[in-house]
Amino acid sequence: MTLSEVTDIAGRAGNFTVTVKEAPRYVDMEKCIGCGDCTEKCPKQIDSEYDAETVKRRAIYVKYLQAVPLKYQIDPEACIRLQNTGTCGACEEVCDAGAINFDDTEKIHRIDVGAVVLAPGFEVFDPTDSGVWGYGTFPNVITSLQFERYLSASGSAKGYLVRPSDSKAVKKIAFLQCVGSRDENLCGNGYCSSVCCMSAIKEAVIAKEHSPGLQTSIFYMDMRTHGKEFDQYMECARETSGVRFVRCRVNGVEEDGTCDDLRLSYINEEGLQVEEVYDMVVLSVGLQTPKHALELAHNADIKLTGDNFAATSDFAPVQTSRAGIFTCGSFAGPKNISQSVTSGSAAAAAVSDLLASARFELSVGASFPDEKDVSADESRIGVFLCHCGSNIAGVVDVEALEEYTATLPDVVYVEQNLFSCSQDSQDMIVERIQEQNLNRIVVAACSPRTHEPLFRKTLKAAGLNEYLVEMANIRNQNSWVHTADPDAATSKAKDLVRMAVARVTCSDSLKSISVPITQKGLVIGGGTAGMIAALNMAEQGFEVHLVEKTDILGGNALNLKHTWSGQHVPTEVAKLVDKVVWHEKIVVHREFEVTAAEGFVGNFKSTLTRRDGLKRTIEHGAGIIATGAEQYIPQEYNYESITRVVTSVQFDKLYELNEVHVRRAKNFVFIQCVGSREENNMYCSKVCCTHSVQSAIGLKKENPNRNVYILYRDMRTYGQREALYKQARKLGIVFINYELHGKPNVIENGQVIDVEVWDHILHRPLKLEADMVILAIAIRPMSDASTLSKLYKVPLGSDGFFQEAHAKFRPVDFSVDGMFVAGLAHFPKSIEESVSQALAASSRAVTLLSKKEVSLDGVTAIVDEQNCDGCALCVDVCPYNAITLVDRIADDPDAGILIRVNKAQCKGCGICQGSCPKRGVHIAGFTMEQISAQIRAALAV
Amino acid sequence: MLITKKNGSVMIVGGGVTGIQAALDLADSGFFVYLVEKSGAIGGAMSQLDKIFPTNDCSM
Amino acid sequence: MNRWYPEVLQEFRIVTLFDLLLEYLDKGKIQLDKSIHAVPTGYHDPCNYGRKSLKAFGKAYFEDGRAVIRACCDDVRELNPNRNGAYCCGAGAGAWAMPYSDERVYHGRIKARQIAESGAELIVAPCHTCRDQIMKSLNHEFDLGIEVKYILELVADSLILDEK
Repeated sequence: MTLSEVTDIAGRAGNFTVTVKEAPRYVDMEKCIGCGDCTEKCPKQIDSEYDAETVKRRAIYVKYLQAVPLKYQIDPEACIRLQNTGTCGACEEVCDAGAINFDDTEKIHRIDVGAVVLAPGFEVFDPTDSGVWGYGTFPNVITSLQFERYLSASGSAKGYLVRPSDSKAVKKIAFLQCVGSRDENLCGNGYCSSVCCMSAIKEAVIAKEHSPGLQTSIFYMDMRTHGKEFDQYMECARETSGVRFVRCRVNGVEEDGTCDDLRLSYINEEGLQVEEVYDMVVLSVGLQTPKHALELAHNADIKLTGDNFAATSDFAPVQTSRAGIFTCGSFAGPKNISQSVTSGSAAAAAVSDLLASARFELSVGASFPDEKDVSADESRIGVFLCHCGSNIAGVVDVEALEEYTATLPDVVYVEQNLFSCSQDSQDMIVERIQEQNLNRIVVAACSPRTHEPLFRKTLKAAGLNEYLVEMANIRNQNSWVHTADPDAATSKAKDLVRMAVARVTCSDSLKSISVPITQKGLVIGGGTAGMIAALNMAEQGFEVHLVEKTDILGGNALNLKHTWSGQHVPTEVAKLVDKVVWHEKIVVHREFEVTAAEGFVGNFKSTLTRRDGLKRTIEHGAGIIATGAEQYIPQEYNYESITRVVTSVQFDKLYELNEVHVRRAKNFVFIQCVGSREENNMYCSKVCCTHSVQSAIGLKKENPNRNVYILYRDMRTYGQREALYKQARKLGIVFINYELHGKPNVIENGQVIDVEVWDHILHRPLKLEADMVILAIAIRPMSDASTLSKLYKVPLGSDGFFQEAHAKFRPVDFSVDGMFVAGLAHFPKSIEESVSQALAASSRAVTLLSKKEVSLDGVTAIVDEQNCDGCALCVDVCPYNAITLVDRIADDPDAGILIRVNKAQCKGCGICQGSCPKRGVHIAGFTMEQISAQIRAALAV
Repeated sequence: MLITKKNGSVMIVGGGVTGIQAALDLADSGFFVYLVEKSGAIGGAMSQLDKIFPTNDCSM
Repeated sequence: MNRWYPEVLQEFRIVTLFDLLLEYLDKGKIQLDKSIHAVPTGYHDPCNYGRKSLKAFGKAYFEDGRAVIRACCDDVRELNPNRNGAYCCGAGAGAWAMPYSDERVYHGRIKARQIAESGAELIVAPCHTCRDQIMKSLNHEFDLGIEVKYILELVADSLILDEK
């Protein structure tokens, strides 16, 4: 439902009535084909919100060309006709589809739902009112969002970087961090937006790729690249791409002379005043909750934090203050894409937990007519030639193409469409298939990568096997790349269509295979993440086996006292353990480890072995790896030789017990980044800055006479944790910045420990006489992670942590279907993130387990038993380990061997077919017959 | 104790990448999803970005 | 005053210069001729009237001065940065007095450059220290070639007087 806003949420968990206000679109969505004729004729121009005001749009417009749904809308405040009846109306006249409707009205819907998930996102901070940055006054000062639009190929500059003021090529860019974040003075947003450091680095690197020779400088206070692989990227940006990093908060931007250049005056790290001139300044603006979300929170009685984010608990990060209403994404605190996607899945898990009893009641499955068997029939091919608006028709002579296509063998029907993918064209294709009795289809249009599933559905709706369609890409591979030579493009289009027709003639109906699923889950690791995931799945009715190596549940959380927001960890963990142990659907295997694993998605078989040798075999449909992480045992800073140099974990315990050394100590020195962010371990352990600050605050509040120092490289108290950093400074805790090349020296000196460090403000070496030195140690991957990795064939990343399928879009999945990861095993993270990831993993697992069977794509490898002689060339090259060698006849080794393909693991990539010298295996839908026909058609004159 | 039957549908407010992920997961798990978006199209802030770390994919 | 001597306020009304000028303008008590100051004019935000007043009393006088000079001049240029982030003239807090003449010239170099780059030929500085610094010190040391007036001076010079 687009153009709709929620105005009220009434009811309670399980039964809400939501009032949705749907604004009028003034364009009939059923009729609009997204051709764009209307927007060309519209006389009214205003700033485009999508393009962050870098470009103008019309009053009738589509949000952007790849929008879903790709339908136009009229902005009632800008439209001349809607403001004044009887005027303009140009769009209505020019619309061929008759889709304009000026009489459209607002509709109020009342919808009954079981749960609500709030994911309203964020808006970027508007620096206009801050004055000092010159935003809105100097044309070459832009926000990071506007910069993204300039860099984008779909933006106004098509990715060529030129200055807004005079279109001169940009040579020098400055990025100013923390605009609208960590700034209570100019804007009241004291928190850290947590994503902008990384965003600026990415923009700088990409801008350099767009414009070779471009100089970029990033001015920052703390470089917060604390996510997975972020620190490596930063180092790479610095070393390889040549991005310059300057640790300095620039106070403002001035214009240099009259040429629109921008001047920055600042104090550099050596304490010298420096002035530099830049072509363009990009303000890395912060994230804040959008106004309409604040209104909704107010109307729906959702509690917010002081920073206007949804108030959540660290152990239930997707639950708002109102039961049954969940939240995800940046509304609960600024997040990057991976965290957002994870939280989306986490919210889904929480909803599933609540509504499990109502699963499948309201879901609507797509229904299709029975499939007609056409195997015995002669080919009757129908070809649909798409204009794609003007994308194809603007270059290719579609009339000539139609004439030509009609002459091809077995083609009995040809038709042109303006947009083959639009809903009405789909319906028309179905009709034609039925009335013309077509049994094979060619769609000459765009890329099968995006549209093949769509046309497969079309065939299903017409009662044909979905694999009997072939696409000829006459757009991406033709009209888009040969715009300068329409004759050649038309000729190539004919070739491509001819090839597609030849191929589809040989196409066979294929069957998708269905494999039954064991509706049980296996969770490896009984820490916070493991328990949360197990509980969530169990609450939804699935049997879960939880495997824990040690004899107690709780994992690393057993070392913690309070979360950053002050929640008492032992209480929460005890509650979790209790729920897990007593849950009827969870079977806990203590002191067991996974020693063998086999199978594939939906059908895994894992063997657990206890220390004394006892074995158990578990069958499960999905598995979640939540094995946690280890503490780094420091070798530096004389940890081993000096008693009062301790790790953060040790210190927590000593402090809790009021141990004598802590009690008597007066001077405490924390050293950050011990074992992190260095060669061989170029990653950030993410939680240690916050943890040290928390401990330091505890020490200082207990006795303000204590001297507490924190020696850091970058203070990474990201997100709303920034409040702790501020509190620490107010209490008088001294923060000293050290760089990697100047690590502190820790030497025992009688009763005290001398800590020598270069002070970055005094520009002098400082000697601190510490009574106790606390090392903020790194979080290391489990040393036995590789064992599990080999068992389930799931990869480890370069840091040694488990590697997810896609950093952004599949942050909890493994590339091996059916296996998921959560918690510290994936990367160091805080408790709230572990919980979020665990819920997400559970949600992803449940999308699998909730089905009785999984349907696999029919395009998989098929063995030709006659030709295959078991040479096994294909076995090695298969990237999915889907091919195994088996005896031809069971128990008869002399009868020879041949390959067997596991269709569930096979992804149809075709490498086996390519490497087989004997035509022993081929991919269904890509038979030698089909491919030869295509090649012959290509070469035919 | 009165047990009210729960409604098996969910409303997701916000059609950005987060809302879309939640919607997909829920729909795949057997719930009917209403995805409510304030602007004219889904996609949210992410659709405005040029390239995404680490793979430099386009945001579409 | 409100806090300590409320009874005095019942007898006397206490206003700032800005309040008074704006009142005169609103009520039409004075008429101004814009052609007298037909040059690019810039407004200098004094620290005391602006950011210090904001921090100490919660009210800053940024717009009032601008409203007054807009009534006196057509071509008003903004110096950037301005208002709360404006550059200090460099001679406040006692620096106007001797023996700080070298220091205040050095402090005021950024203001001088700002004025030079703005293209303004007339600077209106409501605070007397600022006006002195800019007019007598910066204008000479940096060859700015500008005229500097107090805000009262500006209004007085723009007045249309009845011929008597």
